[in-house]
Amino acid sequence: MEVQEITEKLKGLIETYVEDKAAFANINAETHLIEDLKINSAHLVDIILDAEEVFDIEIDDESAEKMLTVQAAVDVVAQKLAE
Amino acid sequence: MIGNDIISLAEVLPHQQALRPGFCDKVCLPEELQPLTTYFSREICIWALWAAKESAYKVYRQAGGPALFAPKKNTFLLHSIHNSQLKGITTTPNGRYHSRILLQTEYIMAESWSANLDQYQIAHKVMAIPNKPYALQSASLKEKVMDWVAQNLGMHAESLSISKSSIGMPYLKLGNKRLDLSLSLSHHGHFGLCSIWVKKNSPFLG
Repeated sequence: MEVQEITEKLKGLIETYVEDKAAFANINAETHLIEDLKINSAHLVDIILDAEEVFDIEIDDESAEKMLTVQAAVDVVAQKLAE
Repeated sequence: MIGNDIISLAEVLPHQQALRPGFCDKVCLPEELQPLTTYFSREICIWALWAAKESAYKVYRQAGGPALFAPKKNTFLLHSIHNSQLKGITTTPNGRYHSRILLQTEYIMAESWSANLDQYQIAHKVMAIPNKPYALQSASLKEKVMDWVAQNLGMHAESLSISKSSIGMPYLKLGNKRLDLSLSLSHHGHFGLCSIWVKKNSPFLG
């Protein structure tokens, strides 16, 4: 799967949990899921679980630790898809 | 140093978020959960642990720990239960912190702190805030916190402000001077929580 497709699918997952739509409108690779999008940290678990379902991957704890920005999340998913 | 967290049960229980397959495995270890499930439902126990972990994570950050999302690296060990209050120690990558969790019918709150309470005291206040939007929640909580602090310190709320440190931790200022007390803020749903950590000779009465 291309990085662009991974990015768009992840953005779709993330948007579900973003209450501040204006913040989401400015989303980019460096956007921090909690600090910039104000996503409740418990929903970060949901995003990880959603990503596992959508991409049919397993995200271990060490990889999940890194998923704080959009780019980091894309990188983790891409890595898991390549394994 | 102090950290807190509050969870509105009206926000999480209807969706059974904590009971989602895989959620618990991402959040806590079996040895954390098992002692609590003797007393409370699994769902409540998961949220109680989450609140403790979040509160301890805030202390971990104030103690210099880098940002990371690793709930299972903040492990809560239960020491005692009295009525709806759980006490224990949360171990983080950079230290062990005292934690207490309070289970109420509408919310769960937790506080963690970095030293014993011989020389310090903790005051907290749960406040009703608007449920939406996020910006209004945050502003409403800060306004109520400043009113509360001003009332306790005998000053005008207008002279107070809340700023954030370089790592995003809130602190109180009186004019341009940072107040000598540790502050933690949380909000979720209709609930806001402010926890204040001060030396016992502080005029803050809570």
